[in-house]
Amino acid sequence: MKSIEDLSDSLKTNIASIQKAFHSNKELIVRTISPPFLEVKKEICLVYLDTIVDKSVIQEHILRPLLQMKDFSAAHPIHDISNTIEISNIQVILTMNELISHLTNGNTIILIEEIDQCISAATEEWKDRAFTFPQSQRVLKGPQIGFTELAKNNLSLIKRGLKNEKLVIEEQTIGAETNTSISLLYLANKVDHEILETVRNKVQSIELSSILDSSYIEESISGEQITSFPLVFTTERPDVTSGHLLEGKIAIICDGSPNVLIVPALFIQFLQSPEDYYEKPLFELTRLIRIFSFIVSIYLIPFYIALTLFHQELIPSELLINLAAQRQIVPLPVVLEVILFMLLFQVVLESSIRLPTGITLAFSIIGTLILGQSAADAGLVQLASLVVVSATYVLNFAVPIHPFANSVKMIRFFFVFLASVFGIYGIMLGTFVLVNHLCSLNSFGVPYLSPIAPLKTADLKDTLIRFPLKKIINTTKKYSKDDHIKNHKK
Amino acid sequence: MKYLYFIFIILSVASIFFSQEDKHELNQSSFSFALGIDYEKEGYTVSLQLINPGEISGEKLLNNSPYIVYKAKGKTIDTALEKISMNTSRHLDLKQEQIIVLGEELARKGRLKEIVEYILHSPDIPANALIITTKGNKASELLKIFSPVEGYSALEITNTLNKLGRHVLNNASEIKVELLEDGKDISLPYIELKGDLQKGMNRDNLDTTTPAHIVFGGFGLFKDGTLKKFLDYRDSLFLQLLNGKSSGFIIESTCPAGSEKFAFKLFNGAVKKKEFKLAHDNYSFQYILNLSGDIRQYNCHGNLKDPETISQLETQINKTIQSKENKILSIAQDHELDPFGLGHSIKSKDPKAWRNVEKDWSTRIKNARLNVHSDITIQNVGNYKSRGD
Amino acid sequence: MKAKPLIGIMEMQFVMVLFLLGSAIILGIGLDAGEYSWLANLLAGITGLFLFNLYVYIWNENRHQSLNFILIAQFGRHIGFIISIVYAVYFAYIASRVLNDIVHFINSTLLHNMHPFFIKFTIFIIIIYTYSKGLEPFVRSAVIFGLVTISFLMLIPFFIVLSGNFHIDYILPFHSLDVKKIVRTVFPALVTFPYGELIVFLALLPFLKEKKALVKGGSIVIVISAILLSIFSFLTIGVLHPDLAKSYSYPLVTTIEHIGLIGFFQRLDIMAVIIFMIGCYFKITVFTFASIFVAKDCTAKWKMNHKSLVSAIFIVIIALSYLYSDNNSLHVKIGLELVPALLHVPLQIVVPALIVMFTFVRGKLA
Repeated sequence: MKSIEDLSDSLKTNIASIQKAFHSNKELIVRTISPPFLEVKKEICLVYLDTIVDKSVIQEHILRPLLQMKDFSAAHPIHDISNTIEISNIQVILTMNELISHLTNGNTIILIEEIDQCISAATEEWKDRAFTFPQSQRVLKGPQIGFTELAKNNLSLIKRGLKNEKLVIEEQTIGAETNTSISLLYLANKVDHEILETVRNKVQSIELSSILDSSYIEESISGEQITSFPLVFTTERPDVTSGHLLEGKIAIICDGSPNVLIVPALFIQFLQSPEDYYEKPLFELTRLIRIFSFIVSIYLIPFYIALTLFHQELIPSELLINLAAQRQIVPLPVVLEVILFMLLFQVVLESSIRLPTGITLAFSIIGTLILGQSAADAGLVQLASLVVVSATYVLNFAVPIHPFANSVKMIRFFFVFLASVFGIYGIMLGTFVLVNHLCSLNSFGVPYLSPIAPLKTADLKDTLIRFPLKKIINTTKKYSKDDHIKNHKK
Repeated sequence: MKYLYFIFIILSVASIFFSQEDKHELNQSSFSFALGIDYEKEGYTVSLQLINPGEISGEKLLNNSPYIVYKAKGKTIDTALEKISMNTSRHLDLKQEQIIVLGEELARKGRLKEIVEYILHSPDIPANALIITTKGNKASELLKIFSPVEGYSALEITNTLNKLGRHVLNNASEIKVELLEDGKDISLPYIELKGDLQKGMNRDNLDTTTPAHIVFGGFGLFKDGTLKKFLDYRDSLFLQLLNGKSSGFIIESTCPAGSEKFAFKLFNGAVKKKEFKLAHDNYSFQYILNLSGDIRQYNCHGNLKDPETISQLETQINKTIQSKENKILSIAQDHELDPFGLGHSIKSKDPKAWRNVEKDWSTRIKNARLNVHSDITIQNVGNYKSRGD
Repeated sequence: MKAKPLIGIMEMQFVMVLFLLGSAIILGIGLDAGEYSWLANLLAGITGLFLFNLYVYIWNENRHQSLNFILIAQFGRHIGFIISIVYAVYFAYIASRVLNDIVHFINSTLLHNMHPFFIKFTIFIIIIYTYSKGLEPFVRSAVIFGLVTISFLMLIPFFIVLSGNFHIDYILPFHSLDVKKIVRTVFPALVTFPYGELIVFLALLPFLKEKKALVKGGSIVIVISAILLSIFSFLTIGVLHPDLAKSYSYPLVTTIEHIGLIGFFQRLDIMAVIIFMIGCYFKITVFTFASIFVAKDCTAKWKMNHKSLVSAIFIVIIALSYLYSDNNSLHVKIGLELVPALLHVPLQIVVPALIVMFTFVRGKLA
């Protein structure tokens, strides 16, 4: 627990308590100087953390002016020192608590003998990588810059795309251990204030002591709805963030994470890619293809099982003969076979992400080509099952947002179970539950399936097919809010 | 909420134990695409052609026959099927049935109606299975023939028949409809064997260049569900022409001058108008057809560039059709049949008159006369226009 | 209970479409009228339009209140209460009948050997799940299922016509119009099922947001449904023949079974199965919701335990589903002969007519 005490007027006590607070860390540099040109001899002490400050700034713009300082009145010492050091952003600090938090944020603290106040000068220099293209949301056409781990850079990227005085940034620090800074971004004239209030409350009431990535926040604010579908949109792209802000949404930037959260999130937006807006409208059917492949990736395996086990009459006869011929030599029942390969595919995917890039190629050859092909050749598995399972995963990759593609992983197993017990009837039962579940979800008061269910014809222009920009950009979308659920919560 | 999922899972797992019957792995069931039914005193002989998928798709395990024909007798079709099922190790899947072959004897004994009713009622046999009959051989024998081209005879027969066009063929409900309707007798396609039966049932049939094989023979004419007469395939095509169901076939006619022949390939034929006139006891039926097609082989002397020649050719085709149709009619009259549905056209034009003649229509049809007029459009006379010299 | 408005008119329209079409289109209603079944369907649609407007009129006249409130306001506290209970049980009974419909259907088309118990209870658990999620998600899901159903219904006619199984000569030429036969088909069977069953919406309508749009929106739905039903009965007759069509249990399934598409898909009846399952699911759920709402209103003054009331209704539905449903023939016979005369006509036509009369008389007196 940190002490909430005020600073004392003794320099030594102050330094001692700072050193105590940092457990006499070597990194903590305390430099005591007494400026030679002063008429009254005063000791001034600079305190900073070695690794996170820009030393040249301290040297050039704090140390040198202080050492050359001539005027110093006992009446207003803080004022005099503030006027001496050449740092744009300084602050006067009264408590120990604040002092420590400023130190950990990379500021340099200037303590003065016999004065119970100190000055904090912004000298932080965070290590950061260069801007690169967004790793998980690449596009062929359009901006190629992605967010980095430094919140300041990210804010700057957003503001470059959105030069608007109505863009509000609300910053706050949460997490008792990590002191992570979180910023809420929104356009004051477009945001829905009710939703903003909910988001604010939820962010403030996060009870996590440490926050290492924005996904911690995502999980905490998603609420008590049990679902595998993401209720918060994450993006690495400044252009996507700006686009969403312009639609009246709220972005949450977490320092230390390149993923920006956007709420409220809608089901259909996870199937939209920024490229949709950069290509020609109407005739570009990629969005429809994505939606189609997402749906098929859920239903392909269950239907394969239902048709081969229960409803063989629905399979065209030539195909049926081929399937039956393949089946003659396979030991496992089709359900087990499919589940086994689904698990195997999942493992292959998982490992290929983790492995060092050098091995990935070799691994993908062994894992997929050799394993799959030879399993079929060895008569362990039916070729058709292999085709169906791998087609499912290929289709699933068409979904542009990775967490969303993952969300149907479990659902697929659920459907496979139903199909293996009840056939098509089971698939329909599962569909009733799935659709009902999706319809009952809401993201911060906005129905998840909006604008399809509930139907908003005005918003449909940018749902399945993108209409010309003229029609969709200048008219604001009206997301219907879910009064029922909000009232229910209270 | 949670207990709902729980109950659901218990229910579904329980259902696995209680109802195994619906679920069949593909290697637990054997598929049949053709079902043959033959006459048996007090019952039926059912023959089921079960295919061996590995052999047909080329993934051979054992060098066995592409299909096996099981045969069983029974007083009902179902008992016979049950017997077959008892004899095989696998579950019988009838849901893929594409054709139902009725033996000639069965058809001649007038059992078509029972079969149609059975198929309509059966939950397994699909409604769109085609019904055909045989000539000369039993259905079970024809199903045993090795098919050299398609691999299994069910597919070969289906493909042969499908070439005739969808409209010509009949499924159970269409036959049922024709049985119900007055004034039209049924005609069903029949198949026959070309070649030696014993040779065809031998696997060597697959290895020869002159195999015994199944061909489409034509149409069998039925009276009240009883087979009466077989028409050969050319006559059958002309018969179907008047029913408005014909597709591309060749009409050969004599040249306007001389006795040489020319061929007219018919593409589209439609009945434009059907009329009938009653004079005393003579029924005269006027058909106007709309035909379009090409001139193919041309041995005549007229110049095809000359529109006059074309119209002469049209007259000749017209005459051919007229005489052909009347020939079929006279065959039908001999057997007191009405395959054209002449009675039906009376019924729809003049229901009162039909009521009077309904009872003895089969004898009255002998007084019927056909008058077919065709409006012919010759689309193409060929790239090289024969001058006829 | 004062209902919170939750439902938009669009979603309500989709629920109505599924409610009207879902099962009716597969069961092939009005085929008794032979080649004039399309006409019978149109006629029933017009009557249904009239009935629906009657219901909406009643609802408007009674300050957009729920069914129980309307009945008590019109018939007095005691008689109103009894009639409300009758309605609650009636809705539960219809729900159980539709439940049986789907069980028979699944048993005869998809799972021939599955014990009906499992089918009945699995779908019933889905209904309970839907109820537990509330009315709003259910009504929203109608949009998605409605789009699927409507797109299937748009495709099927093309497939039927393209497949060449449609025989125009089964229908043409029109013989003399047998008015008696058509009227006998339309009244009471065709009017009460599906159009008269719309009375169940009186229990759901208080949740509607846009109260004024209902007349127009609902009427459009009925017109569209009537036209679709008419088209489909026309096609069914054209494929199966007027004399035969009525003897099939599921005429549309058989009709679609005849279609072979582009030589690859031999059977498309899976489309009909999906349409029927969606339709039945929606019907059962709508009736269940209605039954529970009416029962809840009735017992509001006793402060009954909400959970036990809902469980009671569910038990009633499942118990009623075992009543006279040993085989499909008995089930259908009761559905065609007894239910229309004893339940549908009194509760769908007579009671609303009485309410309208009372409202009229009261208006005159005032």
